Amino acid sequence: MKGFSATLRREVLLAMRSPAEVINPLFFFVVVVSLFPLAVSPAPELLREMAPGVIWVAALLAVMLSLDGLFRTDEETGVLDQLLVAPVELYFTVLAKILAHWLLVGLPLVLVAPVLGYMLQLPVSVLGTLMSGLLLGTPSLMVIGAIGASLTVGLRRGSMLLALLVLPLYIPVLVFGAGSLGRALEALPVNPVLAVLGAVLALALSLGPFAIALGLRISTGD
Amino acid sequence: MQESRAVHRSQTTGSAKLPGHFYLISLVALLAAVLTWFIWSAPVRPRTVWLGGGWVFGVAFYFGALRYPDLYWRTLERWYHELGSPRYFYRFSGLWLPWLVGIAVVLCLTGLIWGLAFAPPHHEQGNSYRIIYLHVPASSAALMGYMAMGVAGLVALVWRLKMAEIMIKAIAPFGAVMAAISLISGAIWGRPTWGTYWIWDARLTSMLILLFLYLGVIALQNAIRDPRQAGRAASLLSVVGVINVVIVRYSVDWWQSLHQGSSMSMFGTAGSAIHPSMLAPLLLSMFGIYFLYAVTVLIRARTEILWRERKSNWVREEVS
Repeated sequence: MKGFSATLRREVLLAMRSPAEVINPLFFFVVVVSLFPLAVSPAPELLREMAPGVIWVAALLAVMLSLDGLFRTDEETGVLDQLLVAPVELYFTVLAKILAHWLLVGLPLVLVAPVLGYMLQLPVSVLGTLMSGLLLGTPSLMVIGAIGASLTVGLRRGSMLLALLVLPLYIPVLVFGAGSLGRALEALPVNPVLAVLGAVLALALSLGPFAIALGLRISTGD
Repeated sequence: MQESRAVHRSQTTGSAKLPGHFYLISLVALLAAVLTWFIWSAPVRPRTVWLGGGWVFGVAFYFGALRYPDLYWRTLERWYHELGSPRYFYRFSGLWLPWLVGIAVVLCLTGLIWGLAFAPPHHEQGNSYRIIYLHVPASSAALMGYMAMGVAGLVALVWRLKMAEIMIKAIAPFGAVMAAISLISGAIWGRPTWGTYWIWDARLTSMLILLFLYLGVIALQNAIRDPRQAGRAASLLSVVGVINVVIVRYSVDWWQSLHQGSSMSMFGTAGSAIHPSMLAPLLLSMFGIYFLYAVTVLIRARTEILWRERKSNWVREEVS
């Protein structure tokens, strides 16, 4: 657990020193969502119908694009090799990195999502479902994406490959996440769907770090 | 590592005693078998026959293992070492290959010609249904290939077997082609039957995602220069993919039931069983495709072995 808190502190400190990397995904999220009314139509009914899909796809892409740099700087500066040989469990180090990344990138997305939802004409009553869905969904997206990032860390032009590997794996989170919002719009019960998102999160958080640690060991040729 | 292996060996060969986890696994397997028996003992004849056969086989295997533990264990060990060694694998597969090619050609030709030319036409769909003799085998081969890749990936990650990594590299392209054939033939069948080439049906969508997963494995393998590293990375991805593909399947089913009712099933709602005159050629072509699968995978694996071991003496002797 010593590695956990130390890594967490280091990640947050590093992000504070270069805030652009934290703000960029959020900016991306907002820009992509606001492109849709311009491209399709500003008609409120149409926007309301599209909103769940648009917000979830934009959040998913923002998370995925931010993950490209999750291990890259560490790999270039040699920190990754130090982490691999350090006498702490890699599982907790990886978990701390993901938690820090979620706090810095994922949480702002969750917080800004209701505003975007309101702009896409979603009724205020479903904004809670939107937030709780993203709250449960974005950590899973982080973990699954980090598996892909760990496998592509040493590669040039890895970001395109990362998208190819990770996007098919994102489908369940996307389906249940956007589905929960769709059900909320039809005034159907959403708790079962949110429970499934929570189950996916539990699975990802418990098994994902093992896969990420293994992926890092493979990528560094260990 | 070395020590534990030595302990194992003395246990198995010295006093002919099985390792403790064997009993545990057998107990779990027996419990699972009993459970399956109770759950599936519905009066469905073919299923009961299959399960009964599996039951008898399992019991025979279990008591055989109790009676001759040494023989079983040594056979397992021999397979592990021989099939795990590229050189032995190359030799064995060279012996099997002509037979497999022969069986594959005979089964495919019989099944396809029988199905396409001689099987009776369907009472609702006429002759267009005949595409199932290509479509169903391709779909099932694509699904099985992904499962096989997951198992090979697990083996490659746990025991670091070079052959398992080679198998993943050999399976992925064929599986991707099978998924593509399944999608294309399904689209061609869907045009006259459903009135459209593509519809976001749960099965179609799952198969499309499976194709994406195959392409991801292939892309990852091509992106990494070092073959061992590429193999291990692809192994991890296929294991993650197999866990994920189950969740994807459930999510897509759920999604489809949310958006539209299940409007079509393969052969109507009443009497979904296939008539024997149609089933026989279907089974033949399915097994034909499976053997074709084995042939392709073996040939690809053999080429890959030759390439990876190109600097060793036995490959030089083999090639020259």
